[in-house]
Amino acid sequence: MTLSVAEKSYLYDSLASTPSVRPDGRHQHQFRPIEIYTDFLPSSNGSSRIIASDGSECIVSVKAKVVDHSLDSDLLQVEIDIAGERDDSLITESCTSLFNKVLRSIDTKKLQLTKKYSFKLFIDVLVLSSNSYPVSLISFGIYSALNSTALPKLVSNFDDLEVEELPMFHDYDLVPLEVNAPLVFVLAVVKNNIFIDPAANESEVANNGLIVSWSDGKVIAPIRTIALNETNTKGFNPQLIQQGIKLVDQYAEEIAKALTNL
Amino acid sequence: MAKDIEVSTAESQFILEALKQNYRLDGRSFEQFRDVKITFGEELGDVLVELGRTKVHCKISSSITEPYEDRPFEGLFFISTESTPMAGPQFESGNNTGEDEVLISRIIEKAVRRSGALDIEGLCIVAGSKCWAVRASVHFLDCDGGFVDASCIAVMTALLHYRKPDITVHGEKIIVHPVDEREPVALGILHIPVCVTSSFFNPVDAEQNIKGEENSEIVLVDATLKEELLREGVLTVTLNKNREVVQVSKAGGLPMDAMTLMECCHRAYDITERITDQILAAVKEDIAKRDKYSAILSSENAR
Amino acid sequence: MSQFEVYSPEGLRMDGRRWNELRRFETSINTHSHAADGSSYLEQGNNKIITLVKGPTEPALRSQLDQTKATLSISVNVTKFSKFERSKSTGNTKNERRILEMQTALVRTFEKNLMLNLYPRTIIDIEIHVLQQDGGILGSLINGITLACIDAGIAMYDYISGVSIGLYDTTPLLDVNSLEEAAMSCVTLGVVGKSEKLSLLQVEDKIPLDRLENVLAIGIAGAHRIRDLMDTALRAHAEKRVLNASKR
Repeated sequence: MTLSVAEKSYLYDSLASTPSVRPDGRHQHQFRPIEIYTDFLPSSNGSSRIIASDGSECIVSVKAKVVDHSLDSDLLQVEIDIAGERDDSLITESCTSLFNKVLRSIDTKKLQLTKKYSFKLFIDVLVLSSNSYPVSLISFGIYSALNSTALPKLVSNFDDLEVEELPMFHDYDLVPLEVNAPLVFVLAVVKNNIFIDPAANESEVANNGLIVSWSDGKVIAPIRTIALNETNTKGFNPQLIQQGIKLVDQYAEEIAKALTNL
Repeated sequence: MAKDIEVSTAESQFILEALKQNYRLDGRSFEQFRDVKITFGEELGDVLVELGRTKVHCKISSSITEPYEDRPFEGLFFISTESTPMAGPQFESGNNTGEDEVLISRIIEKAVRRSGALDIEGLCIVAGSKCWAVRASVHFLDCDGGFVDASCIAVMTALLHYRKPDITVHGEKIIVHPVDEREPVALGILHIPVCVTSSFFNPVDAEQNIKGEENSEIVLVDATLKEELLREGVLTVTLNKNREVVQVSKAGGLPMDAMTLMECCHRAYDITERITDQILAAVKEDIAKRDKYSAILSSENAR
Repeated sequence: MSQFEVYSPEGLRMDGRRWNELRRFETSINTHSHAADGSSYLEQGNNKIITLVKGPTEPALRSQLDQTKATLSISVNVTKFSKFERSKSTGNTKNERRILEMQTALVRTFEKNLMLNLYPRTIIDIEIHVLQQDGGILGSLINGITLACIDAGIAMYDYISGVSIGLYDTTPLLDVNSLEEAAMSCVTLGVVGKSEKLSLLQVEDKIPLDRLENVLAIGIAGAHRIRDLMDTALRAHAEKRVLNASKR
C-alpha cells in the first residue's frame, strides 16, 4: 500500500496518541469482520474459506492419509501457497515454518488409529489475496478447517500388533476430529501502543509487529516479532510484549468460541 | 525463445499476398507435404530424417533397469527432445520450458509414447525386478518448419530400425548376448503414428473470421519456417494406417470451422498412408542391406 | 474401472446422466471484487475453479510491454488437494509440462478472442486456482476465463465455451467426469459463441477417424448449451447489479 508522507504522519500520530485512534474506529482488541465458509470441498476431509473485510482471502484444505506412525512420526504437515509469491519466497517460507511449529501444540494422540497406524493430516493453505500480513487469517482458516474435519470411523481392532492387519473403516460413518487447534495473532506496535489485527494502512506505519500464538486457553510458543513494513521499523519497549500477551490472553478465548460456534 | 526471428514487413506482406493468390514461396501446392528423406547411420536405431531443409536426428539406446514399482510388468520408454541454437537462433540451449518447445515435446510424447506405439510390456524381462529401458533422443539439427512431423517420423523409423541385444533368462540371472554373437531382436511396434501439421492464415480481418459465414481461411499443409512464423493457427493431427486418430492438437490460435478441421484430418490420412509405406520400405531396405549373409546362411532353397 | 459400468445398456452413465447431458453448471461472477478487476467462480460438476483477471495494468517488466497490443499472461495453479488423492509431488506443480501446455493453449485461445489491440502497452494477468478437479478440466478453465474476462469488462468478440466429450465404444458421452475420462478416449473443444468455429481442439487418445465428426457435432451442441448457461447467469447477475445500483 502506498501512502503519502502526510497520510503516514497523520496515521502514525493518531495511532500513537493515548488512547490510540484507529482509522476505522476499532478498539485495541477488535478484529475486522470476517466471513467463513466450511466444508465446501467434498474431496477433502475438511475445508474452509475465509474472507476478511479488506478482500484478503484464504482457502484451507485438510486431507488425511493412513500412515505407519513408527515410520513417519510427523503427523501434521502444513503447506502454504501464497498467490503471486514464489514457493521459495521469504514470506511463504516463514509462514510455512511458523505454522509447522505452531501446530506442534496439537496433541497427535488424537490421530492415532491403532497401535501401528495413524492418520496423517495434510493441511494445504492457499492464500488467494492478502493485503496485510496473512498469518492471522491463515490460522483462523486452519482452525475452522480442522473443526470441520471428519475422519472415517475405524471398525477394525485397535490392537494390530498381535494380528497383522490394515485398519478397516466404516463405509460411510465419519467421526469429527476433535483437536484444539492453535490460533495466531498479529499485533502492531506504534510508539507505546499495541493493538490486534492491523489493517494494511496501520501496518504501513507500525514500528514493529508481534506474532503471538495461543492454544487451549493459554499463550504458547512461538512468540516472535515481525517487521510489518520496510521503512518505519524500529525497537520498542519490552513491556509492550507483556501487554500484547495479556491482550491475547484476554480475548483469544472469545474468538476461539466464535470460530467454534460457526 | 532466446531471440525471436522476425520477418520483415515487406516480406511478410509478400508471402501473405502470394498465399491469397494461391501461391507458396517454394512452389508447392497448399496440400503438398514436402519430400521425406530417411538416412540411416552406422548403428541400428540411428536415423536422420530430412523434411525439406528441416533435419532431425534420432538415436535409440537401451539398457536394463528396474521397472517402476506400480508397473512391474512394463518396461520404460523415454523420449527426450533437445533443441539447441544449432537448429536456429530461436532456440536456447538448456532451456526447454519455452512455449514452443513444450508443445513440440508434448505432442511427440502423446503421439508416440501415450498412444502405445511401442509395446512396453514386451520390454519386461523379470516382472518387478528387471526390464529394458528404451530411450529415444531426438536432436533438432536444422529448422525449416515442421519439427513435430519430422521428429515423429524420425522416432518411429528409429524404433522400427533398432535391434536390442538378445538375452537369456535363468531365474533371476540374465545373460546379455553381444550383437556379434547372437542376432539382436527388434522392438515390438504396435502401430506407426504419423503427424501432419496444417497451418492457418486469415486473409480477412479478425471480426470476419469470428463472425463471418464464409470460412475464407487459408489452410497450408507442412509449413516452412517463414510460413510458421506468420501463421495464425496450427493444427497437428496424428494418425495411423488403421484410420485411428492418435492425437489432435489445436492449442488455440485462429478459430476454424469444424468441417475445415475434419477435412484437414482426412487429408492427413492420405499423407499418413504414404509416409507409413515409405518408412517401412526404407527400414526394410536398410535391414536387408545389413543382412548380407542371410542368403548364404539360409537353409531355404529356391524350390 | 471394472467394478463400475461406464455406460449401462439402459443408457445411463455412472453418475446417472444420459449420454447427451451436461453436469451441474453453476457459476457466479464478481466474486473477488477486492482482489481483482474481474473474477468468476465456476462449478462444473465437481470441478471448482476460481478465476481472477487483473488488468489491463502497466506491466512490471519491460519485456512484457508490447507497443501494439496487450500482453496476455495466464497462470494455472492446480492445488495439491484438488484431486481425491493428494498429489504426492514435493516440488512445484506450476512447472509441470502438462500445466505449461495448458497455459500455452489457453493463452493462444484467448489471444484471438480478446481484443488485445485495444489495450496497447498493458498486461492482462489471468490467475486460475483449481480447488477441485473431476475431469474435463481444460474445458472448465476456458469457461472460467470467459466469465472472468466479461466481468473485467475486457472487449471480446464472443464467448468461448469449453467441453470434453468421451467416446465409449461408439457412443459419445458429453462432459466427462474423471472416472469416465480415465476409462475412454476424450476430446476437448473450445467453441466460439454460437458458431461452429473451434478455437481449441484436443484429442489425447486413440479415436477412429470416422467417429471424430460425430463426436465434434455432439461437442459443439454441448458447448452451445454451456454458452447459453453462462449467458443466463451473466444476465441474471447484471440485472441484480442494475437493480442494486438504481436503489441507491
